Formats: sequence, structure tokens, C-alpha cells
Amino acid sequence: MSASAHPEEVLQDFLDGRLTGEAAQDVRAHLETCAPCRTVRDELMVARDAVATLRDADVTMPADLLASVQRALDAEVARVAVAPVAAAPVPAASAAAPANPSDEPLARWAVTRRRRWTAVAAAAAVLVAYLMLGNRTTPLDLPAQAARDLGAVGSRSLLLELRTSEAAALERYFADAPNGPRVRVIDLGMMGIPLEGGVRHVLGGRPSALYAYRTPSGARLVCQMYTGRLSDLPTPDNAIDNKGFHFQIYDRGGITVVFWQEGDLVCVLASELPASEVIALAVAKAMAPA
Amino acid sequence: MTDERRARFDAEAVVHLRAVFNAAYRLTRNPDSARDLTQDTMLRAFRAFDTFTPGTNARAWLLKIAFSIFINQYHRDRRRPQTQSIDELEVQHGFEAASPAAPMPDPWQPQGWSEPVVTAALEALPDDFRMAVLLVDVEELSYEEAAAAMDCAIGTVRSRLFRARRLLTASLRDLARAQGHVTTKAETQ
Repeated sequence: MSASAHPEEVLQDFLDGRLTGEAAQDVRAHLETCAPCRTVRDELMVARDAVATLRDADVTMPADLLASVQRALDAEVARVAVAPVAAAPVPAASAAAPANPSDEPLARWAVTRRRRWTAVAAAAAVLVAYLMLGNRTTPLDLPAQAARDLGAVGSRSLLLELRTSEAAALERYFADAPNGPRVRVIDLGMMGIPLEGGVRHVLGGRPSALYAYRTPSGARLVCQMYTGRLSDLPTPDNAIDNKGFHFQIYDRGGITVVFWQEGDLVCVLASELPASEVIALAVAKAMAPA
Repeated sequence: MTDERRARFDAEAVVHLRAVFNAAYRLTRNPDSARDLTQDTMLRAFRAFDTFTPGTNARAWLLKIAFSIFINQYHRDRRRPQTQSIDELEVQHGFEAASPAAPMPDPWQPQGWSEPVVTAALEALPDDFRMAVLLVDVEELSYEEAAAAMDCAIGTVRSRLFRARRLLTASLRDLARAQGHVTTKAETQ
């Protein structure tokens, strides 16, 4: 690459890590001798880094959005169960295509909304009949979902909406959710395992209060609480009884997931820590004074 | 069967609800529209869930659906906030000869940008260019995933991203100068 070539967009490829080997080395060498290209590179970097700050910008999701989406999905399930022909899989290419080829997007948007709520209302009636028939299938693998949630928190694909180490602040946050469970959050800070934060979540279709702890070594524990019964769970890999509490223990891909019942709530603790430590912490949480 | 499908969708897709809403909000710039867009995205994703390949990037798949709905249903809304064309913006910022051979700008030291300032600079861009930046720099999708989301060629993403980033930096520089954060050589002479 000559000094006068000014690779322009190739600079961007280089900056974004899309060049390797000789191609990357060519751009690197060009940059050493070309001040204008260094300026362009710097301009691209400034924009990229500035926009990246938006990733953590505080956008407040409506508190009832999750429940609203869940209702719409439940209604869709019921509609499919009753009219399977109408529920033929949507081809990938058309999944994102507009349902109505109107020339007025806002009007179409409004029409779509009216149709959707009409459909939801109709489907809700179908859902009641569907549930009355008791047409349920295999139990959900909630332990596997709890293990996946642990990974999602770690990868930040599931963000903790409230980041705090204060248990009381998390309890207030969960109490503000219209349909969420009323939970107590145990502070393990005395054990050197501070709270990280929490988020109103869903586990197997049930609203759950999810909060995370982080050990000094960087390991994470994710606790969830939802209204339900242990009897809904699959057969555990192991179980222990301690001072009136029954703990069901699962191994899901090396993640230990422990469930126990507290009143109407099912509590879940998932972590990549050794199983013995996860179980001990679950017992400590269950025994913690109210 | 439907219970199982629903549970898998919860585990694979619903866990990304917040990410979808955040992206929808940044796209529509309006909380009510973001809510509608998020709802539509999740419902359409559920209907098309059979086309999702387990183990691939579910968030990228959902964002593709969200951006496609936005492009098809909202993007051409005549009442959306109007922006100048990319060509007009480039002329305004002295990029009519968008080449490194153009005169170098005065030296300046970028500051830590506040979210409102970055958002203001971003929102001045035409939607196609703003979406390229949102998908790649905010949502951290690859060029290939962004191209699929915008239904365009990878080269188009690359070009939009390049022009958008340079304009963003120019806008940020202007904002910083207006706020007194930058002193250029010209101003000190």
C-alpha cells in the first residue's frame, strides 16, 4: 500500500478488527507515514468510543412490559393450540415484513395495534378454555433456565436494572412491580459476598425477582424468587433436608442450581461455584432471620 | 409441544426483552413507540421461532426483527423528526471532499461525552446512517449481522458507518467547542 493510497474505509476495517495478518500490517505501516490517515483513524475512534457510552445509558423499561408481552405470548400459544393450521411457521424472510402493505406507516401502526388487542381479547377467552381442558405437557426444565439466566447475567445479555449492594433498595424495587412476588433479599455482605443488583425477570413464564451476588474472586451467584411450588420441578439430582427446609439440587452443565420453598415462594440459587458452596449458601439464605 | 416451545422462547428470547426495548427506544426516540415496537418484535419472533437456530445469537436475531419492523412500519413516517441528508451534513462539516487529503482539522482533545450530547449528535444523522451506528457501535453486532438487520449489503453498512462516524466526530467537536471544552490553534492565535 503506497502512502498516497489513503485506504479510507479500510482504516475502519482495521479499527474494527476486521483485518488480520498482512492486510492489517499494511494499514499499520501506512498509518506510520500518513498523518491525514491517522487523523481519519482518530475521528473514527472518537465517534465509536463516544457512541459506545450509550450501551449503559439508563433507559427505563415500562414496569408492565414484561407481563404484557407474556400475556400476548400466552394468547398466541392458545391460538396455536386451537387452530394449528393458522399457526404455520412464518418464513424467516417474512418474519419481519409488515403485515399490512399500507402506504401510511403510522395509520398502519395504529391498525396493527387495534387488531392485536382484538386478537388478544379473543385469544384470552380461548386460553381459559385451553387451561380448563388441562392440556399441559412436560414440566419445564426450570433448573436449566435458571442456569442459563446465570450465564445471561454474566454475559450482560440480561442486564441488572437496579445496580446496588443494598438489600433494602432491591426489596423496594421488587415491591414496586405490579405483578411480581414480594421478596426479602438477604444481604451476604458479612460473608464477603456483596449484592450486585437485580432485575424484574421471568422464569418459566412466572414473574421472578432476580438478583445477583459477586464473590471477591469474581464468581457470581444468581438468586431468583417466584410464586410456585417445588412439586412443579423435575426430579432433582440430589436433595437434602435441613431444619424444616427441603432443598432440591440440580446440575445443569456444571452449574449448580438449588431450589427451596419459602411460604408461597420458590427460591432458586444458581452458581458456577463448587456445589458444596452453593448448597451451603442456599441453606444460609433459607435460615437467615426475617 | 407448545408449552415446550413457549419455555424455550422464554429462555432464548424473552431474556433479551430489555435489550430489545433499549434498542427500540433508541430507534424510535419515543417510549410509547418503543413499547409497541418491542411488543410486535417479541410476538413476531415467537411466530417465527422455528426459524431461529439454537446456539446462535438470539439478541442479534431479535434486533434484526425489531429493526426490520422499524424500517418497514415506522421509518418512513412523515411526522418523524426530520434530519438533513447525509450529503448536506457532509458539506456543512467540510467533508464535501471526504478524503484524508483534505485540510486537517485543528487539534482537539475529546472529552468524556455525556449521554445527552452523544444522543443529540447521533439524532442529527439520517436514519439509515444512525441505524448503522446503533447496530454496530451500540448493539455490538458484526457488519454481517447489521447488514442482515438493515437488509442491505455489507459494503453498504461499511460505507454508512464510515460516513456516520466522521460526521459524529465533527458534530461532537462542534458541541464541545460551543460548550467551551475545546481551544483550537486558530482560536489561540
